[in-house]
Amino acid sequence: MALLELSGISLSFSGLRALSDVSFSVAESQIVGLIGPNGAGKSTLINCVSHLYRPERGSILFNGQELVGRSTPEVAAMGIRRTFQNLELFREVSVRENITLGLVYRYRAGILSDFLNLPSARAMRREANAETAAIIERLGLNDVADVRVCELSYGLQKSVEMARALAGRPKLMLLDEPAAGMNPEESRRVADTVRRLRDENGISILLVEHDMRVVMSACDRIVVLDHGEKIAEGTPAEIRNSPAVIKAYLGEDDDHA
Amino acid sequence: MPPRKLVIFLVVAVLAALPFGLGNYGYYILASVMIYAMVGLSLNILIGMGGQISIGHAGFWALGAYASAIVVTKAGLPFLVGVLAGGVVAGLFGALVALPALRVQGHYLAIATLGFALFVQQMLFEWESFTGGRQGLFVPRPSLFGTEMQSDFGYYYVLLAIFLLLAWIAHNFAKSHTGRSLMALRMSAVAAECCGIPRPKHVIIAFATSAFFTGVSGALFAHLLGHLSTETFSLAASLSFLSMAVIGGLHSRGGALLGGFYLALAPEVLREFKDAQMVIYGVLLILCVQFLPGGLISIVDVVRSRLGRKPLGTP
Amino acid sequence: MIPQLVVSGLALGSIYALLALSLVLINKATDVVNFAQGEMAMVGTFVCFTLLARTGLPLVIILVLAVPIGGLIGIVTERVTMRPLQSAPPINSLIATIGLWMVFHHGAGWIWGYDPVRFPSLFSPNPVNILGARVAENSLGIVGVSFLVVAVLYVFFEYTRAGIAMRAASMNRRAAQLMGVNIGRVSLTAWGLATAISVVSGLLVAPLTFLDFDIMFAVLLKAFAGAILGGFNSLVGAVVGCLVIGVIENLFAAYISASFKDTFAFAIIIAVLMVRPQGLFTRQIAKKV
Repeated sequence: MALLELSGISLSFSGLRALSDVSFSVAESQIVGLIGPNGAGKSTLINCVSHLYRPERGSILFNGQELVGRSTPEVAAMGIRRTFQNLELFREVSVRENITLGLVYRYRAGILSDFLNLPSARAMRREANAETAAIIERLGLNDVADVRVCELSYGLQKSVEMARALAGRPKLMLLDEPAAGMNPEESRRVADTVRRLRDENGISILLVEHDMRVVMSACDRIVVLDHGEKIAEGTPAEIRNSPAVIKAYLGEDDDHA
Repeated sequence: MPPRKLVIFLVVAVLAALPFGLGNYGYYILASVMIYAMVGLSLNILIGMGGQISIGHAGFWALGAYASAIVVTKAGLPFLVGVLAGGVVAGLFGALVALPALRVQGHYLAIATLGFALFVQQMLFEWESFTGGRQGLFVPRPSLFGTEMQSDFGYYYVLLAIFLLLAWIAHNFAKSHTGRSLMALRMSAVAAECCGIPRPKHVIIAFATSAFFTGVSGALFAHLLGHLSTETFSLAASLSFLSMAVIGGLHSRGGALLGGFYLALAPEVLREFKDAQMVIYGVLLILCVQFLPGGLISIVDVVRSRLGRKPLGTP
Repeated sequence: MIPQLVVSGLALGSIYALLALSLVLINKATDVVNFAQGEMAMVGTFVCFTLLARTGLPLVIILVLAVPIGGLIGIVTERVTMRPLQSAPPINSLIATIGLWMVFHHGAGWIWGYDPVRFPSLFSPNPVNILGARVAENSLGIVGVSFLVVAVLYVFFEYTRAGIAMRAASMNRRAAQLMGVNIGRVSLTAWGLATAISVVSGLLVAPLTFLDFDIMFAVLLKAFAGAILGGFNSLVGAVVGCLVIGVIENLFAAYISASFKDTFAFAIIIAVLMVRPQGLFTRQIAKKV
């Protein structure tokens, strides 16, 4: 059974079709790339899966459970985490606090014990802090752990966002252009990281990316969107040679081909 | 002793020593400082941590005051039960007001809370059989363990103790997972929700807690004043609360305390200006937003950072 | 009975509509809701009152002068209080307008005293016969003046450079800035224009009761209610919303309860915010992430 199964997803904004009848699936421990020209609906689709948008039609099954109709936090708690194209971090606080906030939903004492700082609240904080420290250690963020996020470089901020997503112990990660704004060397490292996420943590990944080298080297399967419709799906090799894909890209502008 | 604890100890010692050498009027002013500072704490939670605005806190204040007065006079229950009832009633209404806050933010919320406060004021005025309407309501002096406190001197210490208790709760909340989740939602609602932190629950908690604090303050105020009338809980009171919280500093317990001093002492200092007084409050509020957005407490922080210390405002 | 109530309701509603237009104008151009708008209108009306009493100019001239007077109040206020907050978080601007509320409200009491004064009306309260309904002349006058203001505003937004720049800025501030729209000037224009319009609403409401420092507060609440009904970012929506509020208010006061007639505005505010926060006439647009 597929981990994530989208069928017939449609969504429009004030009459404009953003997605129409998109179906595909992501298997357990699979890396699926989502590509397409600008405005093809890639980010919109990611937003549908993480439930920032609610699709008008269609169903999204995750582990056999319907996601449509649930709230964003519920979806996150079920094991779907994401990063954002333009970074959505808690900028004014430290790296450590960002990561803790990524896992804090699992460590809840009652509200009363939070108010009165009862032992149960303190225990929850101790456990959350320990797990945060472990993540920081594992991802090598020790040097910047107590620096405020807004003071970090763009690249480091991206790592922090990834670390925060990992803190949620996801089964599925949605990565929205992790290599945007990076040089070829850095992009290669992104592709590595994506594969490591799968190999070491067993996380399935849905990857939106413009950088074809990253997509081609990291993904097991690729789904191509154009004007909100799925125009192709297959292995990297199949996609590279698909006439429909070449046409969609060349039709828009030559830079991406 | 770590510096933070030392500062708190010194502040409490000074607060405890303040009434000595003052007369009845001085006790009354100090008592109001504590009562206002509690409202300051409530706005610390709502605006400072939650990023939600309210220009209707006089509504919660009124609910607390009337609930306590009614519980004590009509049901004959003890003073502290009345105070708790005041907090609970206001807190329930706070959860109710949070419902529109779930759908709207910022300006809309400000308008909704304004509407709420005016609605409460009108209700209290019209519902004469319960609230005394135009005549108002007499409220007995506070009493503890069966003895009535005739002087505000003793009452001040009760208020100080309750303020410290609420400040401790607010501080716990700020470092708790619930409180930090609330702050995460303020910093980026999208990111927080994608981290599994539900906005509705936290906004309701913020409003209910804030309203509870304000309700407790209102109840204590009723017993200080001895007589309630709806005019006390006008829009002017709501705006004074907001100004006080901003001028003291929205992001720390110390700011709430300074705000309480500001609101209680400014009328004394500015007495000579008579009618122009309120204009000066308005000007001070605007100047504060422009030049000292962190409030008076941020002056302390500036001094501390010169000395190489961590700012007090951080949890 | 009902036709009269409806027409006088429309008159009330068009007074609210002018203030609501001011609120929406500033909100669209600068993302600030000006809680002091009603008080600024009241101060402008008091200035007009003083002018009328001192110079004895005809009322029509005063009504025309209200526009530059209001404009000046708006421009000075924007420069002194809002400009320094342009890059601060929006909550700071909101708090500053509350400071302005205190300054204008109590400033008026301080300068002009707390006693209500009589303000003469341009129009007589005598009834005229229209299509069989007897309607007060001043109701028609109020609707007429408001209609004129709305027409002028329409021309401004459709045909003048400044108006078009403001529309562009309200749609997408960042893009407008890149296209060379001066955001500072847009904010200044919005405050000037909005305050001018709001002073006209003050001049229309003052003769209906008495002029005092409290006069505009109830109007502000109704204007909020109407603007929220209309979605708060649509000028047309605000006008329609306020006309609806005016009529409902009159019918409510006549048939249900006069003492709660001001409170019902909040009921509408809360109901709309709970059920349809985007207003009755606008469609919700999903936030781009």
